[in-house]
Amino acid sequence: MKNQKSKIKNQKYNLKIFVLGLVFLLFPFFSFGAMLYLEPSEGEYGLGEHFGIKIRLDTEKECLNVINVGIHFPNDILRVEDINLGDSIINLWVKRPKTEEITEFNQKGEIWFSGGIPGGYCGVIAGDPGQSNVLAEIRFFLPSFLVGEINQEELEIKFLENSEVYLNDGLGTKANLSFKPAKIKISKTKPVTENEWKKIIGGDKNPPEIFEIEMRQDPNIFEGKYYLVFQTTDKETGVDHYEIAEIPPGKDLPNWKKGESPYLLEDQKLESRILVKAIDKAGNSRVVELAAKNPPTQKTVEKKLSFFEKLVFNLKKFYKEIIIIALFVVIILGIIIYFFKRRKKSQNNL
Amino acid sequence: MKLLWKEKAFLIIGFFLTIGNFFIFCEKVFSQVEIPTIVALSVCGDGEVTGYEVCDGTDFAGKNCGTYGYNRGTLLCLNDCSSISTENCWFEKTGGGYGPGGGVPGGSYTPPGQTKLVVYGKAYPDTEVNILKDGKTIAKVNTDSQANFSYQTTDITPGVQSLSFWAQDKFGLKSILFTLTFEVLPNVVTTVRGAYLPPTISLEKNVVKKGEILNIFGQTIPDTNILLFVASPKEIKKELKANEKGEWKDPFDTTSLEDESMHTAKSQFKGIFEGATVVSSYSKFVTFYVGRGKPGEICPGADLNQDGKVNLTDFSILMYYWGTDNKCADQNKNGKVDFPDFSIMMYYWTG
Repeated sequence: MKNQKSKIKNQKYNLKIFVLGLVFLLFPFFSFGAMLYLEPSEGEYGLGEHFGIKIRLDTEKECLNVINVGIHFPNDILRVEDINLGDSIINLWVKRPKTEEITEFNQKGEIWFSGGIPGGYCGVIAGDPGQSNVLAEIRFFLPSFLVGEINQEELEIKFLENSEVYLNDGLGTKANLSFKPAKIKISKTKPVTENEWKKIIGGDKNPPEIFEIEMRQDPNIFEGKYYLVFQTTDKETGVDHYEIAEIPPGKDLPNWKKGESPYLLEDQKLESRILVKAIDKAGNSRVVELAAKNPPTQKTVEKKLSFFEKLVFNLKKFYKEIIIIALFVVIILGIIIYFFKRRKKSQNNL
Repeated sequence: MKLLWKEKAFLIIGFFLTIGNFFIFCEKVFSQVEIPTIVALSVCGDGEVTGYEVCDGTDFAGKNCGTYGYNRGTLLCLNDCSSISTENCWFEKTGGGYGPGGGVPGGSYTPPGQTKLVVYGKAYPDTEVNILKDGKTIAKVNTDSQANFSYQTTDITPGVQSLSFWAQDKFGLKSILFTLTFEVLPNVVTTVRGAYLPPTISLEKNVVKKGEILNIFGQTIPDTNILLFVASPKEIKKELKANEKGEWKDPFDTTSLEDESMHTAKSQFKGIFEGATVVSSYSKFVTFYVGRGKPGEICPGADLNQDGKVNLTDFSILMYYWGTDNKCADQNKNGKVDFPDFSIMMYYWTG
């Protein structure tokens, strides 16, 4: 019995030393390569509290141009409230986390997003007042109804191991990458602080940046059909989604549809005006218009319209003339009535 | 506690491994000591002299009118914190000392008030530099005969900004896209210095016989040195001089290169600017084949619609073919359009 105990003890020692040796051996490998980390890395939050965790990238002197990041969070306790892309260094999104996907994130306990930086990101510039290395900020909520249900005192928000970043080397080389998770402590007594995200949303009064819409046709894309290309950013809360409207001739009210670039046009005759609306997380929007490439002639418009539409169309087009004629008719009628009444009066007097 | 011999041996090995690794670490760190491109950012209006600023707000870095031989008045901070004016300083005789009030005021300053961005950089002599914001072209500026350019705008939203630059040299060669990401603060002037584009590079031909001379050429900042790297099983490094027009050329002897294989070449410039030795980032890399021939490239340089530009349209095409095996969009030929292909596109981006 005693021998067995000492054997186990020896094995434990050997294991410790083996781990120690492994650390010695791997020390230089841990010292290089980019690092994805979460900030704050530690925090204590009360039930009912809203808080943000920023996903940051330390390039370690490498130039990187593409990120594909997955985050895992304990979805039995934490709830994703929103994702702030306002400070993100990503300019082009392959997969932009959208508000409509939040339910799915909370069901899976995972968030994936990916995008790129044209020309690459080589780290913080000397003198930069900010760190300028944020990829995204996840806004979490710790529901207050969890009282009594929480068994864990400490939660971990971590990167998924298959997250990846690529070097800006023109070869598509994957960079060495390490991860630093965040540890969250739940306090049942900590008073709830103000919801900072609500404040940020409330304070964002600016629409997304000005952008351009390009209409393209490529024999290999959408079977050679016309499509739209567009992209913009929002520096405060980030672009939430885009809406597109194709306004046929004779119509005024846009019928907005959610869409992403590249967007296949419904009107392949290109007779419609095109509007693209970029909407940020705070609901501010910027609308950009692209004139119809082949606006129909007046004759074609009239042919296509129903009687009522034609009437409305003509009323709108000639409303000034109609008002003048109507006024003229009213005046003439007034004069006729006036003379008629006068005549009647004078006849009565006679 | 007494250690077993096995444990002792393990600890000794561990100790030596640590020492060994420490040397590897040092070698890795110190062998890479090449002075990088100095990109510095200063914020005019934050009241603190930083970077290339000579003054900021009431901070004149310890200077006052007395520094310039006056005993009255206030200094003025001008030109986005880059110069000090003594036009409001004067000398007053007060019986050997300073006048009433005593001392010399430090200076006065009116904050710029508007959000402004100023960029100084170098590209190639007498050419046009394309400036991109968040991947989209926003301006084109000209360089002088010494390759200097500057750009300033007030049409900028405070927040994290990505500004990229590229230019075409006298041979029609495009530079790499050089990107700087930084934060622009509201109501101050943000000045970025050191937007130095790396040299352009090209080859006389893409296929050479072993032992043949291959001319590698390009353009850079006048009178700087060029560091040329040719990748073979062992990297070959050469240093040459660019002429007064910034042109450089190297007749490269391919004798030492491996036969029937692909090779790459890239370059950097090394020069002295404002007293500091600066080494640029790497140029675009060019590939060549030593041997009898190589298969032609499909959609080279991520220009998927072959219009001479790599921009949102190409990105859209890439997105359209995402996950497929489209031969054009699959830039790295791994059989799938995925992140490595997107990374190659980001590298070749022109906006």
